[in-house]
Amino acid sequence: MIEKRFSDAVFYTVLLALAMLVVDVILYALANPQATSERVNAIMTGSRENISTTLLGQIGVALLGVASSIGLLAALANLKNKTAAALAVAILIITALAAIGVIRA
Amino acid sequence: MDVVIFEGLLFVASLVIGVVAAMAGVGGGVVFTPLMLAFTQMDTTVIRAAGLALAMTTSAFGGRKYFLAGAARLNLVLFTSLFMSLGVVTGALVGIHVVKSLGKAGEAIIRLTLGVLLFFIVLIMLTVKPREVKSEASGWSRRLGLYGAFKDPATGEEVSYTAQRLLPTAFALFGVGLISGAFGLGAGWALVPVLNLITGLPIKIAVATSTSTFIVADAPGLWAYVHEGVATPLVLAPALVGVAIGSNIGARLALKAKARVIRLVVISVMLIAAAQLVIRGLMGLGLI
Repeated sequence: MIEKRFSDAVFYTVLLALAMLVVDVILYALANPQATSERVNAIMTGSRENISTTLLGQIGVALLGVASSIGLLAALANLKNKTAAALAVAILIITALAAIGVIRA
Repeated sequence: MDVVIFEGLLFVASLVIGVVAAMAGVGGGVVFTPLMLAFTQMDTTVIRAAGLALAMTTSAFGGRKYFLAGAARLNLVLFTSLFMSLGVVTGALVGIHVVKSLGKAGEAIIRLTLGVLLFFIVLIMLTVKPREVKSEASGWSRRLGLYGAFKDPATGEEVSYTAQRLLPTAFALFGVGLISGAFGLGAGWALVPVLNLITGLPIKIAVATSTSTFIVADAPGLWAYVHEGVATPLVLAPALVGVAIGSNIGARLALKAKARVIRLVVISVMLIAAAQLVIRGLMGLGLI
């Protein structure tokens, strides 16, 4: 079932993304308590400078951003309706353009 | 502030928001974003990025149930997501640009606009009633496969449906996406009425499609925020995990709780947040 392929791929990717975000925060806080405290204070006071943590966290956020694309790619091979497949490809292109920074503020 | 306290508070607040929002039948984002914007000093862009990520996470979890139950169909979700994602990415770019170019005044405009919008959302929640529809297949809906049948477990009846008025639907979806991207809201409060009243989907199919759409439609908008460096794990980890667990608990409790009371509580909280947002917005602009 195509819906199951799509939702399973999305669900497990998001689950992995959440796990990576949590592990990133824990590891970063344990390794750099002072820097983490400074970043929390920066966030609390409305700053947006230097508030990200490590590569692991950035991969977690990126996984969340591409979860639907992974789901669409998993479903695309079985999508029999060509017009629906074209819609899926259009969404993949929009997401890819946003992900690589072509569409940005 | 201590890291453990900050993460713990954000987790508990998100958990409570997830429980109450799910019991009231709304997404977590529509409560999370206004509350955080109204009552914290956090940067509006950081909060809006978290709100969008939150809508995507609840959609991934909630949508899966609807897909497996046969209430959500991928073709419909694709059609909805395409036009909505165009709106989401436009809205996110506009929202980021307003704050970037106007600074504190831009943040005040975001708060003020969301406050006014929140009053409108409450009005929609109180007045718009679901409509039972009889739909007939049209050329484009057949071509796109935007039709189907669903056996309602509550009544045991099979409900047939076909998406209609696709052009007005596409414009409405773009508008819903615009709001979602600009303010970091899931916007199910707008998407469900659009799919029910304009597209002519039965209410259960509209809810299932709406819930399943955000993980796809909001992704380009989230990327716009990621490139600004505001999607930080320090906020996302506790907020997303809290709301994901909370909405799961809320969905189970909803079967036993008095939905009307919970809904009134959520509406009251949204009204308080709306008033606070309008006041902070006006103060930020130096108007009061």
